[in-house]
Amino acid sequence: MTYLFQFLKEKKTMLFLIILATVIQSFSMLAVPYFAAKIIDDGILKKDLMAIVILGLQMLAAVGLSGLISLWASYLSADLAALSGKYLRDRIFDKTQVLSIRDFNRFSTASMITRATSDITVIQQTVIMFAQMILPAPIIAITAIIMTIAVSPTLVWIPIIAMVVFMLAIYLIFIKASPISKTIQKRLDVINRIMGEAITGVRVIRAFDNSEFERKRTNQAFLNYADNVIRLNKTFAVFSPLIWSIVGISMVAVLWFGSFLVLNGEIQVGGIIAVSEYTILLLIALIMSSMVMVMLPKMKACLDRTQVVLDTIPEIADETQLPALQNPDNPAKIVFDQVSFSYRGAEESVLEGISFSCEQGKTTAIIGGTGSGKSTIASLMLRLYDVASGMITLEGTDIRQMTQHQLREAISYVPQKAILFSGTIADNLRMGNSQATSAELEQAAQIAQAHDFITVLAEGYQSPVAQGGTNFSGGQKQRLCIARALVKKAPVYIFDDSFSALDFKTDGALRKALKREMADAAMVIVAQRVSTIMDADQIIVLDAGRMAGIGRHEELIKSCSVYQEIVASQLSETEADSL
Amino acid sequence: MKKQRKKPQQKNQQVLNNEGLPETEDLTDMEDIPKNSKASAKRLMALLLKQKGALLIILLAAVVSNGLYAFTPIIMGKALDQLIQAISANGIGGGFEQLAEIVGLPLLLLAMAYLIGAAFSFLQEYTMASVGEKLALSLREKISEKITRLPLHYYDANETGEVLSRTTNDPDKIAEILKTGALQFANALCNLVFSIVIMFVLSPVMAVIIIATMSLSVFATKWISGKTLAIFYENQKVLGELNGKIEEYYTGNLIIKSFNQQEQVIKTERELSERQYQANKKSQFVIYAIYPAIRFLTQLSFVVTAIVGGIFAINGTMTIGTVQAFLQYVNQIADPITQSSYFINSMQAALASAERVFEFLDEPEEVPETSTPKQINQPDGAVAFEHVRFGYHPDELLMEDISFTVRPNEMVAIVGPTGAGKTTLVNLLMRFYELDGGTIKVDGIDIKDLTKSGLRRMVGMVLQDTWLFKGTIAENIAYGKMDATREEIIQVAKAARCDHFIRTLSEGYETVISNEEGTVSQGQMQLLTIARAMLANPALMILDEATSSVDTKTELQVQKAMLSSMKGKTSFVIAHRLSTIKSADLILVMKNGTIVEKGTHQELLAADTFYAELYNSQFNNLTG
Repeated sequence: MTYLFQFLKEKKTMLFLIILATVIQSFSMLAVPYFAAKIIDDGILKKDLMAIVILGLQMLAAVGLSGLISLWASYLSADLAALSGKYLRDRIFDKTQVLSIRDFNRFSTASMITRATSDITVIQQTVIMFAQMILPAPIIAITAIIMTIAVSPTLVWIPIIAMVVFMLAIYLIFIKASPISKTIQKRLDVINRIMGEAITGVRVIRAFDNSEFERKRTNQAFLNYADNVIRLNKTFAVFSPLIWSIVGISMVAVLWFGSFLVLNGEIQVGGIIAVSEYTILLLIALIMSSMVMVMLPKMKACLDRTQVVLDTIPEIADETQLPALQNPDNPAKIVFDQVSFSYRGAEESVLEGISFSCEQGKTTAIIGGTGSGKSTIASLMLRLYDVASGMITLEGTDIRQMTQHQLREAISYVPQKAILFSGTIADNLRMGNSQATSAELEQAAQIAQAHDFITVLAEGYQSPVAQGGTNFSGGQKQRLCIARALVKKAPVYIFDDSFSALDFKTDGALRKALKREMADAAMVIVAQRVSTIMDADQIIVLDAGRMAGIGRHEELIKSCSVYQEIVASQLSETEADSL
Repeated sequence: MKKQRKKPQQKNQQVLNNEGLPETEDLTDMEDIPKNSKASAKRLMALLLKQKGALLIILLAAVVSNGLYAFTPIIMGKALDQLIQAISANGIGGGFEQLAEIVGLPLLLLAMAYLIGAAFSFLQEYTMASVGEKLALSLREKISEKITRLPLHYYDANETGEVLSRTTNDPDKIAEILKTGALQFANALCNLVFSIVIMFVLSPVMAVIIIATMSLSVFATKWISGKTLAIFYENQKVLGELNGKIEEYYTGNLIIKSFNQQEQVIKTERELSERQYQANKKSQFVIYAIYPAIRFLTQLSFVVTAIVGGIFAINGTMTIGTVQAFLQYVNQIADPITQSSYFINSMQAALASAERVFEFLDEPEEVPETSTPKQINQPDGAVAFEHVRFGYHPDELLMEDISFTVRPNEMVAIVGPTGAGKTTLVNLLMRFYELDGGTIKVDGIDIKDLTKSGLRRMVGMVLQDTWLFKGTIAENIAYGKMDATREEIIQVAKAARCDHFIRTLSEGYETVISNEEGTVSQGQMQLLTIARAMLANPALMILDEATSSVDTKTELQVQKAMLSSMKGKTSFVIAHRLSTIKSADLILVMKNGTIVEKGTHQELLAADTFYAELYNSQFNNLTG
């Protein structure tokens, strides 16, 4: 809410103009029954044809004014609503760009996308609904009351009581309905989830012969949902009859007390008609706004969701006072010093007591089983998380003592999951280095073993990449990601399990080229295949988050039992023996 | 088997329309236009007619309440006329007693009309509360039953999101539209008919004038909505572009941050956001501008009625009460008229939804089970394929003639390049697909003579594509044996090498996981599904690339555990890492849907075989 109010505060003038337009609009709208009453009193009863025509024209003018002002109000409201969406969306987007990866992932990507897209759409729609349907209600109500007083102050309590009764009743209905609506939303989510599972898991479900179980589970979810929807509908079933009753009783009251006043000469017949119309228009405005009110909790939920993002304080913040740093001549590019890391609340830590140093011109490989923590090491280097204890330094400086921007300028990273962006191949490759020449692109692609398949494409480096890179195979995507990282000039390169989708031949050729062309860089290769890393300058063997060994292949194969097991599982016996 | 793409942006459809409120419905493209509306309408009607009683009540209530409503302006007019008459006869002055004599009866009638109308309206709404939802529920139950009966072919050929939308959104849409739309339509129609009839009875000339001016607003509405379509589409297009970009950037969040691209993406976002602002402003404006426009036309009609009515009243051809009544009729029929165009659109959407549901329900089903099933009480695990012919498409055979036999307790490995038919082979054994020829026998009995459930209970299967449902890790492991104790679960988890990582999670075995969330990695998910299959303890085990995302060391350990748990069981193993299947009793080498070689590792390696070629290609890289 805070941010929406902040926005409205910034757009004070616009808000004021909308209110002004709505006031004019409601007066001109209510002028129509006013003139209709006058036609009866001054025209028909006095048998004055001229008066009827003149009043008719005045009425027409009121109608025209009301129409024009309404259009203006609609335009202003549309502008305000569209702006509110832009305002919030831009703020969220900016925020997500400063959040750490872990901050971001805590929301999950899908939920973050919802917050920045459909939530904003809902807010936008609700803002205009508010301006166009809810805001006019109180203004019309006040206008109607003023105009009723102008006819007869004694009749004014009729619209007032009608209004109060209506609002009270609506309040009670909403109080009763809102917990049901909330349950319904949850039940709907359950349905979507269970159905999704039933469809994606059809083989497993059938393999375990659990079809009947799943059918019962889904039917139960359907039933729970339907029960709640019916309950909600039944709660709202009193809505229409309520309106009928209130309108009916107010009409009878206006006629009864109005007629009494007419009978005693206090008002004219037209006054009855005017007041009855005012009352009805007032109630219609209230009905409209109350129906839109249903949207408000939804908007509130969306606003809350966006607010959570906007309120998140980035877990990894750059130090405000940074010491002068960076010592490019330091050959110890990245050093882990007794680093430990664990997830909050977890029984066992992910990494424990990790120490090693990645030197310039050397390749450091990290190998280990699933869940041994090898990818976490790469994440820590990029400072996607902060260490629990110990220290990581880049060229001698604690990475917490530099800005994230500086740190990541110094590291070029190839992720485990190949992610490309829509655009051309060249656009993607230039991501880390917008100044790169086409020769540089080609060189990087050649090292990454991507040049050959790129040049086969009709448009070469200008070939389009679809969103998510879906027009390339897994292996091609991975090679493009590697090329992208190589285009970026950095002292440190991290390959996070990036060779897994490559066949053995390409893998070998790529590593040879890397060794040849990138001799000056410090390389970190996280891998599963022994063949990928056996020629590294140092291999760190991880086992359940601890370092089981560090050294060259030849040393480890003799001394490190964990490494021996990994090797044995990947090589044929004769080959393992021969090594 | 097939890739599933998630669309996180949901369509925002808030069909919330009673008094002609704007629908903030995305203008959904072709989806909302039914292909064969007549047939679908008939079928939907047939389903609806199952609740005949309720429908009758609703209709009756609509007639009564709207009939009464349509009479209220005349009653009010009567009261006014009597008041004017009394004043002109007796002059001004009088207490409530005189007043009761003059307007008492009409006002009593008026009160009764409103209150009885309200009672019937409640009856109608209350009855309607369950009609649409019951219909949707019955459709959903049919769908969930259908899901169990559809052949796997169907799931191969259709995207999950598409199936999901047919099962969740479409019934909802139908229910919602029936609830609001149909009710409104019934009421609007009754209201319109009664009002028009009464107007003609009162004064045909006035009736014609009012209808003529009102029809102006109908045409105007149509004309404007035609004009605005392009603006809506533009807005949808820009919004789609912007949301697509945001989705892309968020998915690639890690890359954007590690490449320090934050400023560039913010720049792109700003440009699109600005364009969306402009397009959205325009489209919202036209949506909301329609209402003042229509109101303007209605009021025009009101003005004309007031003037003409006034003239008639002066002529004495009409009483003031009647003029007043006509003014009310103008307001009364304005709403139903504008609503009708909304109703036609929404009804079309409901029919399109119904059509999609019916299409799903009409999909051809699996071959029915044998009516005289045989039973295997203590399976030995012998498997025989005899001249099996099979193709995913009837005119495109994948397997021409597959035959082999497996003795009880043997381990069979199936190897071969992608697309060779390895997975198909084991899917056929599970009877996921029907054969085009030949037979598959388990313990000498044709699997067609077994019930599917009987067959599948004997077989445990672990697939490459892991499937976990949202639930605790313990529940997921126990999916094949729901009454398993915690000890049993932990035991298999240890054997499948997942106990360690489960304990690193914050809630251990009670951690809630699902396929979506990244709590556990792909390899870890595979280990969980292996634990699941081990717990089910079947006589026959199928492992289809079950450890493809698991590192080789863990794979080896898991395999050892499985081997010991599979002692006395027949197993089928599909693996792309040949090192893991060397100990198999029988290796089937497949290529293009046929078995090209059979034998043990040693036998196959000794000869100049395709297997030897495959095997060497995986390892010669190591030394180089």
